[in-house]
Amino acid sequence: MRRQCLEKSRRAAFVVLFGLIALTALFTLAAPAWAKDATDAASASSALAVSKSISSQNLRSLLDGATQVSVGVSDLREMQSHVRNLVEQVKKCTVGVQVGPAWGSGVIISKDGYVLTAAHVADAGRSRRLMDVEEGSEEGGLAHFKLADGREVKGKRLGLFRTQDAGLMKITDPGEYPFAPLAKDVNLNQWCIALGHPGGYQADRGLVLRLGRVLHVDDKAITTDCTLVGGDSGGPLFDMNGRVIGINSRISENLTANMHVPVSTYNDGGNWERMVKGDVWGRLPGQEPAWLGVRGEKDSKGARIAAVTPGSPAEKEGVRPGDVILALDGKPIGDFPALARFIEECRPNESVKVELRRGAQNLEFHVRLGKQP
Amino acid sequence: MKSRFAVMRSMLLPLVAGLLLTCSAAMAQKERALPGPLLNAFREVISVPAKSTVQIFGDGYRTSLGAIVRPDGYIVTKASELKGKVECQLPSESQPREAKVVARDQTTDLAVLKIDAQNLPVVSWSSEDSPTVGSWLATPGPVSKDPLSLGVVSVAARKLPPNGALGVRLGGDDTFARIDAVVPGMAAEKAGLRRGDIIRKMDGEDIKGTPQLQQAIRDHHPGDRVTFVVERDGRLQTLEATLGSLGELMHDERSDFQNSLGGKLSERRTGFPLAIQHDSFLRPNECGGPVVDVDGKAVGLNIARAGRVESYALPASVVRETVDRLLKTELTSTPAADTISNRRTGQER
Repeated sequence: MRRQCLEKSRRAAFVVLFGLIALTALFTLAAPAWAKDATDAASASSALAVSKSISSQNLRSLLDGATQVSVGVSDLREMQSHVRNLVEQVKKCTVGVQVGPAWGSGVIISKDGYVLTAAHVADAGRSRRLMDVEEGSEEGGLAHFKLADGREVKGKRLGLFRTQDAGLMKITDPGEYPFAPLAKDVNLNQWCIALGHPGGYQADRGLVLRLGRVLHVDDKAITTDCTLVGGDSGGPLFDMNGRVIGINSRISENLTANMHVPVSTYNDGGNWERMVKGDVWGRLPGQEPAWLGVRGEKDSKGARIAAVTPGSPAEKEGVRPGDVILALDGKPIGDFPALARFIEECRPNESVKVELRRGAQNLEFHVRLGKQP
Repeated sequence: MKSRFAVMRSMLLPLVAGLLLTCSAAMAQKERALPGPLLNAFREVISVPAKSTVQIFGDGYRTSLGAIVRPDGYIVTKASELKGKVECQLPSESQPREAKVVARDQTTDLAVLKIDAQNLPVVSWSSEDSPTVGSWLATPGPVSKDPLSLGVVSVAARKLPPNGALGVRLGGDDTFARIDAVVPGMAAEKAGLRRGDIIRKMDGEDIKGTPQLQQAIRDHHPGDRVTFVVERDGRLQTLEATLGSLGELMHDERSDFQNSLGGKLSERRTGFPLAIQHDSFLRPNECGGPVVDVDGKAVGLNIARAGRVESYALPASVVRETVDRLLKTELTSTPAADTISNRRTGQER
């Protein structure tokens, strides 16, 4: 019951959220490949040359994911040549992303500088709570991009689809930028290359190449054996045609557990439009939601508490039905959806200052949030 | 929804100041498998260099691989992994032979060993030891026909400076160096250095200012023993420190943790005059042997496993030059010398 109520209020919250945090609207016509007709637009106008074609049929099949082929040493040479040329091209679109003191990677996918990256990279400099962001301000959203030729340009964070760890940024320095086309599909066992700045950008080193294969594909992630480590986040995974198939996101213990956001995520179900507008939604993979334990009254002015869940942090601190939450951590809370949004941004074990009105009294105390049961 | 999150256990790749969450990769394989379709071709590539690849043992345990560099039994390997009773096993034999450590070079972390053998197949070095990014690299193994590891050049050869650190905050200028703070738990504290000490000499050399001292420390490797003469309360004192690493100093725990995912790292893994970075998976005891290009020529010697994404190889020219020099002079380049045996006459190359 509580979940249902919260779901509705969350949806309402999204609408409110969008209104509140609409960053500068970006009415751009130079959107990436999938926004127009796929192949020609990107190829024609792309600053990237698609890698030269491979003469060996066996090798072509192998690179696309065939496993029942056998290749000879001359094929190895041809593949090596192909990879060398490919890297020279795709490096130009691959950037280091600096947000505050943190470094990640990204890839430019449109001439005017849209950059795909990981949500947790784009988000790195953001102040903890969206409610802290003034309407129209870009607090915490500014970033620097390091291009492969050493140039540094300024940029900003746009939207985040956190559940999939997908993030969008944009170069704000005017100019035309080399950009990578996007793949339309991914095949198991297909060969791929990952680029990024593991450990953070290093001037005397530059981008670091990994070569590997797609080991697993699902709607959450593409898994490859291109090993990744901190700093690679947000960097591109390319197929052997130089098209982006994924964005580096997370790893696990095994060397073969390197997960990338499927590039289709950035376009699925209206995600692109939302991210361009600056929407931030979902929760990062593995991040546990915080729990307060209250249900709100629908259609009421102010964040009036309808029920308090037994055993919850709210109950422990003495929140009662009928209380109206006035502020959390000093931030005025206008209605229940706003309260839900605030808690959504918190982590378990965080302590939050609660100001509420009970009858004629104003009370103030701290609540330590729990984990959702 | 919740169960899906409970199952997933992978870590978001953290940045310098980033997040570290865990979800698991349901589909991860146990090891990094060699790609089936390429195996036949790579077997051909490594068949010859494998004959020049040896195993090095220390007190019965495999510590590294090595490369045969002279037909009369000289082997090159990674110096810092050598320990205890050193033995060397030829690929054609089933038992290791006794090996003498003839010389070491700290700059390159190379050592030359000698075994009692004749007419051994010497490794064939490539004259092009600066392979471009994207070039194949195959590591021959001691036993199997399959390569031990495969990868590509990730970063072209570059200098990897040593990362020795003392653990102090320095004050002073171009004329003197003073310790303003001592980092707890690091080399300086353990050596007894204190705030206010003015460092007058390091390893016998006069210290004429902070920049010079910083550079001098940076030129050392973690584990190096360094002697300081400091001025304290008007008197001179001599103190000895065993340097730590920049990694300790920076407290980059997240990065250290992530780099340990997917295998152990070589202890000496930086501080090389030139190193080719590649993405082959190697265990520390799989370093020290040749790594070859698609023509089967050794472009270098694997010298370290340095992280989850990086292995390093010393380029062939560096290995050759070092081996030639070591065999000519049989001197070590560090105070911490290993046993040096004199060359038998008549073995000049």
